[in-house]
Amino acid sequence: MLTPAQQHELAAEAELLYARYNEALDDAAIEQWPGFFTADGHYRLTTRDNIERGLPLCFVLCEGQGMLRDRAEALRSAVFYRRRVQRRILSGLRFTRCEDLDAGGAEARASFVVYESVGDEPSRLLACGRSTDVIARVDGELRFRSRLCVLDARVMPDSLVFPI
Amino acid sequence: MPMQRWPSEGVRRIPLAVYTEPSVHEQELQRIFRGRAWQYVGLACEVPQPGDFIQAYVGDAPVILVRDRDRQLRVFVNRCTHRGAQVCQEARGNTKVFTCPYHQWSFGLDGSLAGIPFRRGIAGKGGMSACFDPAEHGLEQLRVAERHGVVFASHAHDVEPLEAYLGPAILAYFDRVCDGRPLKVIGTMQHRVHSNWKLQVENLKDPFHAALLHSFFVTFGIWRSDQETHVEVDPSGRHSVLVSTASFRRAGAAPEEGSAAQAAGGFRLEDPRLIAHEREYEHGTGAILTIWPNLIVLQQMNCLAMRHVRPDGPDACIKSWTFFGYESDTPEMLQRRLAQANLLGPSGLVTIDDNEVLAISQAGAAASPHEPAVLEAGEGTGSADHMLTESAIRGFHQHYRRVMGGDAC
Repeated sequence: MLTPAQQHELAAEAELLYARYNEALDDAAIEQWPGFFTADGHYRLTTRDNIERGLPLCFVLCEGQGMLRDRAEALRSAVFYRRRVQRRILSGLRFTRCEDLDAGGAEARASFVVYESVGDEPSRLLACGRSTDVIARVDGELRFRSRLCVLDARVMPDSLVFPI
Repeated sequence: MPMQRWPSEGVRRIPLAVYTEPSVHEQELQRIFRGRAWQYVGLACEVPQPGDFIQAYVGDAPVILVRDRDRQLRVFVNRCTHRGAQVCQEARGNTKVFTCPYHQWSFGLDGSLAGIPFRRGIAGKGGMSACFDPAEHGLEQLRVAERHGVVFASHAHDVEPLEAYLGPAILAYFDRVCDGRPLKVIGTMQHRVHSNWKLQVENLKDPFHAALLHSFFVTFGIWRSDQETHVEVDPSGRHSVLVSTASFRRAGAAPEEGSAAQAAGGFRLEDPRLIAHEREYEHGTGAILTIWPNLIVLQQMNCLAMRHVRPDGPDACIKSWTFFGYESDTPEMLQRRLAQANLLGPSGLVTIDDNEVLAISQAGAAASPHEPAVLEAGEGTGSADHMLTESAIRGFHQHYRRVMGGDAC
């Protein structure tokens, strides 16, 4: 069991992880994305509707560094999209389980919103939802062992080109 | 009405105004989506038990697909016959009646008006007039057809039977995937595409673009111009299928000239799961069937999906993907379907290309509605054994003009 001081320190450290993660994606530095995950890291993006119905389909399903890097490389070189600027905002980060940071990992939840501007268009809300992540410490640094982003809406207003 | 200004070249030219004009769109809703067409509403496995329902769309109009007490499938317009409010607010569920929250009119699973509060008034005062007959005020009901677990509906009660509507060649491709084995939904994706619904449907009738735009497909030999191909167009032009056989040969030193794959250069997958295909069907590794007006039955490697294109005004459409497999799928096959779905949908490594190109096509059309699109690849509106043709798009517009234009075309 972590002491309140340790919990506080962990929360601050996790805030920094999310800040760096969001900054990399907001800067479209997609090649940095896999580096935020452990070697066996998983990433899933799906809807609340699929989760509630127990349906396994995801918009994005990456299991392990190979699949994470394949998506990053495809987005860098093999997918056509217009230049866009995204802004990720995180709120309400809290640990729901923080005992196993060095073993299995600690579980953190947060809300996210992503705004996007395509071409000359003003920024508009692209996505909002909740993330449930497992965070582990690898070589002294926090990384995602798994990140599950669950979108609130059933219908997306446009493509979700970059990961959340 | 721009129909009358269709260029003299016929369907080798498409006036861009058909993608942008609100008046054309209104006419499409009437003549196509409320006309003699079978439109996809869902899979029978989504409503397995009596009382099970889902909300769906026919054209831009919300409908309810429900299984009644006799296990018969019914499709109703989601509109109370009293004041027009929607009688069903849940996306899916199970119910004995649909009750409008406004004045509590309730409708049975057969659509009949079963109950009205205060029909006789209170203490002899008020209530419904003597000439009000509940039998005349059931929910508006569409005609329904089901084939091998796929449910279609039509506003036209004189529409031909579904099998005749599809015709033998298209029916064979439909049955290739939906062969009577029980289907199972594995998940859904829905997203807005910023283009007219026809541009989205035409995209799936255009084998030419696949090997030029989709560098992911080209790089991994999934869809290349030199592959064994078949384009089958229904004699009316309204339905078509593009069948391709993947070579899985990687793009070598010389990718398609001028293609996006040239830019993709040395991209190699570290993990083959995105394209780890296990052959399930004869005749092609991918068959993309477009059924008039707005359904795409997609089989791309191990991904199976009903892609329904819901018109949303002239400038947008909602693409709704119902991914499915079979009840009999092994866990390994389910994993293949899930991993390969990375290529499709709002975050799909192939679909993103299309969503973006469709948006810029719409923007281009909106700026120059009096200019035409040019469809000069190949000849006519018939079938072909190669990819370098736009015949299926011409066939679509041949039928479109027949339905829309009447004598004007």
